[in-house]
Amino acid sequence: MFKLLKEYSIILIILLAFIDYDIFVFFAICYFIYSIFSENKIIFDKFIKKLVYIEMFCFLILIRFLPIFNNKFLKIYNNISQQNYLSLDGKFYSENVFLDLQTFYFGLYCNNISQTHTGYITLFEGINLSCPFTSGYGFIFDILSIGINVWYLSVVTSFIALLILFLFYFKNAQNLNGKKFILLTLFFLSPPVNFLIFRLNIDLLIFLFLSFIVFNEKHKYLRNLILIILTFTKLYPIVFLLSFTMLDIIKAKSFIQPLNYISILVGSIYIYLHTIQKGTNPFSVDNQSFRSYGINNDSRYLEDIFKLPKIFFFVAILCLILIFSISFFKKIKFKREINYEIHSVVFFLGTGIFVNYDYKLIFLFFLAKKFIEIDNNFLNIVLFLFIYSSPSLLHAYEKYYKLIVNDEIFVLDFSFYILYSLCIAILIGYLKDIFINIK
Amino acid sequence: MTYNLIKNNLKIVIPIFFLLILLGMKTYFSSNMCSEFLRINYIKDFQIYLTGKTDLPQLKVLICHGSIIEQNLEKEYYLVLFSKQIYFLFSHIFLILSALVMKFLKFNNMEYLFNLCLYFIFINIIFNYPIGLNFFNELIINHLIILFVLTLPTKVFDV
Repeated sequence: MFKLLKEYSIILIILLAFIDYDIFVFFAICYFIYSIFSENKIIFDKFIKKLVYIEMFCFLILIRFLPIFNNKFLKIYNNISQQNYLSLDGKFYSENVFLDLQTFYFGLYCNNISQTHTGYITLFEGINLSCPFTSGYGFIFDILSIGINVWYLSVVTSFIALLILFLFYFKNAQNLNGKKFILLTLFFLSPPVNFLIFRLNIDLLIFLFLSFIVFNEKHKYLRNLILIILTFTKLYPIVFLLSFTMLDIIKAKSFIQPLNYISILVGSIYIYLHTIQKGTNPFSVDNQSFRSYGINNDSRYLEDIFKLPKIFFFVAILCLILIFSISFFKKIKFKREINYEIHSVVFFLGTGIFVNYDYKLIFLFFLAKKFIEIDNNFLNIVLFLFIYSSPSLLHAYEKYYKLIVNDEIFVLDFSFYILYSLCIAILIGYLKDIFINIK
Repeated sequence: MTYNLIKNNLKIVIPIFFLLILLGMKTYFSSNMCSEFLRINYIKDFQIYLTGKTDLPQLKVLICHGSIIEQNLEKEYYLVLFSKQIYFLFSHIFLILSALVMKFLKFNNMEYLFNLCLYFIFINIIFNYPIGLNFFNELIINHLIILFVLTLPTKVFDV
């Protein structure tokens, strides 16, 4: 009986996500810790794995599209959404299905001179948008335009993207079993992934493109071209040009990588021009602590709490990170057979300086995959506790973790800094490899 | 027998003892000087706004954390006393310090975990969160992280 319960427990845990995602998060953490420390090996037979795949299909795809056919399903849609990313008015049932993609396409629609409508109401929350409207992405999207119905295009794009995401999960999970299967499945059920799918931010498309490049790299030219286009879209993918350059240097054992250097230069010039044109300073951006990460964000909160200059906290945090990094570096033995985790490492170090929404953490997939393969408890704990606390479980006064509306409670996420230090230690390892082995 | 039980589990008994004293003091003082607490008076679906803007001294703010300053029935909201500074000090700084002290005193893992949970409950009560599922908030993640990081020195890992 106990054996049966243990085998089917993953099915029950995932079912919780459909009932109430906030409860699921807590039980998923408990289940994760249990599976890490359990001395009895958990082996899933084919039938259980099939059930998990069905649940994952429902979670990643089916439930997202049911409200489109019938409004009554919005209740279920909200059940699988964490309270953090719903409406900030304290009333939970915000119904902004694929909001980011809708606004992105509406921005492109407004660029079309022959547009027939100048207004758009987002489905299903009903936010009124009107032209002129900019998507807020790279300024190249101020030039591109579309003439198709925004909602239909959003639905079709979302369906294709989510289907590819599911197939990507399936491809990675099919050869795993036991603890590794649990961890990979939990990654795709995690709050950042759920947040990303809820908003259907264009980051999902970037992640899918990047994953394709990472695991199917054949032509450097095509790879760099795609990465430059992605940089033109959302700026931060330039970090992947850096990580690929590092890998190319290690593989070729040579610093002479002109194609990569030119690509990085093109990307940097674009970012510079974009910053000048938009007039935005990445250090001035802030966000709520419970659904974003970044040193700059935390410094801003600490400045507000202690009434001292932000730079003081920024430097202090960097010093602490450095101390932790050195301590980690001494404890890591580096192996270099598989090295796709460097993409996650460079991404996390780059974006972690500023302020970013937690849904970007899907890019930690490459690090998660590596840690799952290594099967080290400490590494998995640090990574998964961070992922499962981003967005965090909220402090509450009412049922479960009800959001406190005015963002007074600041949570300094220790797990972020520990993972950040670990990533620095890994990067130092790579740099050491490069500078010692390559002349 | 009881004496031996206490003597053998001092690292658990002493923190519980301190917690009970602190909670007793908190209950005694708050009943005399604070207005009603939100957890007692909350009406479903009312919005909650926290504020630290008050003329009260810091000690009183600490004791009366979570008490209602204003209740607006028309606009359906509560204004609740909350100090960012005190909260951050207790939930983050003292948390790290207590974890380090336990590490220094060589608590074993079970004692360590127990005391961290105790501290976590203490934070929830001192800030007047109601007892319920909301105990499992962000703080428990921080507890777990500290626990695992401080057990690290015995391990070396491959990457």
